[in-house]
Amino acid sequence: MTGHDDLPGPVPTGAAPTVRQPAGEPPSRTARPAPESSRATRPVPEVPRVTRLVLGAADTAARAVAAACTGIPGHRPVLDTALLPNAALGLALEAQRRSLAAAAAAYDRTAPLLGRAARALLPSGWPDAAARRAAHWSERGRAERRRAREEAAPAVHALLRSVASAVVEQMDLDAVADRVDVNRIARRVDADDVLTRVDLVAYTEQVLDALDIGRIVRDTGGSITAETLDAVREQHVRADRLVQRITARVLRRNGTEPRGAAAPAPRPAAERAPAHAAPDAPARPASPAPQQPAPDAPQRSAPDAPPRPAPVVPPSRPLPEAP
Amino acid sequence: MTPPVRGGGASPPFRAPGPSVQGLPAGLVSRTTAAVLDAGVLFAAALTAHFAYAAGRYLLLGPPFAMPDPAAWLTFSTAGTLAVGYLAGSWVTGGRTAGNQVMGLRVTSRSGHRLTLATAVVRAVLCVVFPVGLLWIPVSRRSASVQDVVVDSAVAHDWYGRTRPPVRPRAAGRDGGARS
Repeated sequence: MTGHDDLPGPVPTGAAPTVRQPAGEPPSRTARPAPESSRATRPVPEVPRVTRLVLGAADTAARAVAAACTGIPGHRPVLDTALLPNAALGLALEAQRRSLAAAAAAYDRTAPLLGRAARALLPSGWPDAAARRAAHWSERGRAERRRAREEAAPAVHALLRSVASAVVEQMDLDAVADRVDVNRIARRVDADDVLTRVDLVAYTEQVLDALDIGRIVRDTGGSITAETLDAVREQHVRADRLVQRITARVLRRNGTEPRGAAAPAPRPAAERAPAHAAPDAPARPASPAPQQPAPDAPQRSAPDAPPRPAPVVPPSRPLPEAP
Repeated sequence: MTPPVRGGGASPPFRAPGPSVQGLPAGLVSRTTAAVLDAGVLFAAALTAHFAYAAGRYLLLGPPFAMPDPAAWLTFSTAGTLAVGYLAGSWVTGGRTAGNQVMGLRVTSRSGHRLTLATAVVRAVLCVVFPVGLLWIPVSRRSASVQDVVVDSAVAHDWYGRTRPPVRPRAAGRDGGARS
């Protein structure tokens, strides 16, 4: 699964037994490592390492379970303070270490004898044939492991995904995000490199096309022009009223507003006339104000005529022309 | 300023409805400004005619390129005819000249009808011959000039005319012509 079978053999570590000197050589004060030939044929003491891994995983799982059970009433953590379990574990580990050391010593002493005996007793071709068969079965076993690993990979990946999803669902991502230093991440980002990979001109053209800048400019320009024109007209209307007030004050009139409203809503006759009417046909005025007597026209309506309804434009009865 | 509306290119920009002075008689300042604008239009037209005459003469007869120098009577008569035609034609056809269009004014009879050709010509002649008749506007109770008194016409505010938009609720913060 991890590809260790394709790598060289692991180096003995940890509680590997002390390598003894071959027989016949003078003993030395310090133990020296065995030659490569003896290391290659000697059984590698991986048992202590595997034992540590198993014990570490089991201890981690036990601690996780203990932490999960912290909130349970009556639970009491005993892993670190239990005397007998720790003593039994230490005794087992020491026994394992001594057993492995004894096995290694026995192997060192008996291996040369067994080799010579095998060469003397067995036919000359058997070791080579056995080595070839072993290589054959080893290669087949390696291929089977690889195939099994490939077949198990999707299932393992699916399992990992489901486990990861479950873990993520249980996580408070907001709390995780709060712990993330965004500024530190931003400082590591090369903005220039990002910008060089972005086609800003193309994006700008797309944005301008979507916004329809031409229409906005047209609408804005027309609206500004209309509002400016209205403002100018309003100023002129104020000026008109100012002149009117000054004139009324000079002439000592009572009212200051212009009177008359002789032409209310002076829209062309073609606008008000019905569709079937001739364009030049006289149409009724839109407001009743023109029906009122004109100051410099002969009085056509009776003095006691009922008042007409109020028009849209505030009318005022026209008065005779001032001298 | 009218905010841009996405996808609303077909609809015209929103404008407030007509001002409260709609239909009221125009005063001295507005009508004088309109008259000045009309005088500018006439001056530009006369200048264009001069250049056109000079260009045509240059193309047909060759150099020199010189502006025409007609006699005084011809100048005045041509200018007067041009002015009378411009004013009368504008009042008869659209009810307003270019200056009236800018100032939002409309010239009608006192009954609200469009001027007839004869009335428009007489009024135009009076405007050209006696422009100071506008000074009678502040004195008149109905803001009528001498020309209005003579031909029984009126000049009233009509800011939007045919382009008057349909009445809609006014935009917040915009008072438009209601202030006046």
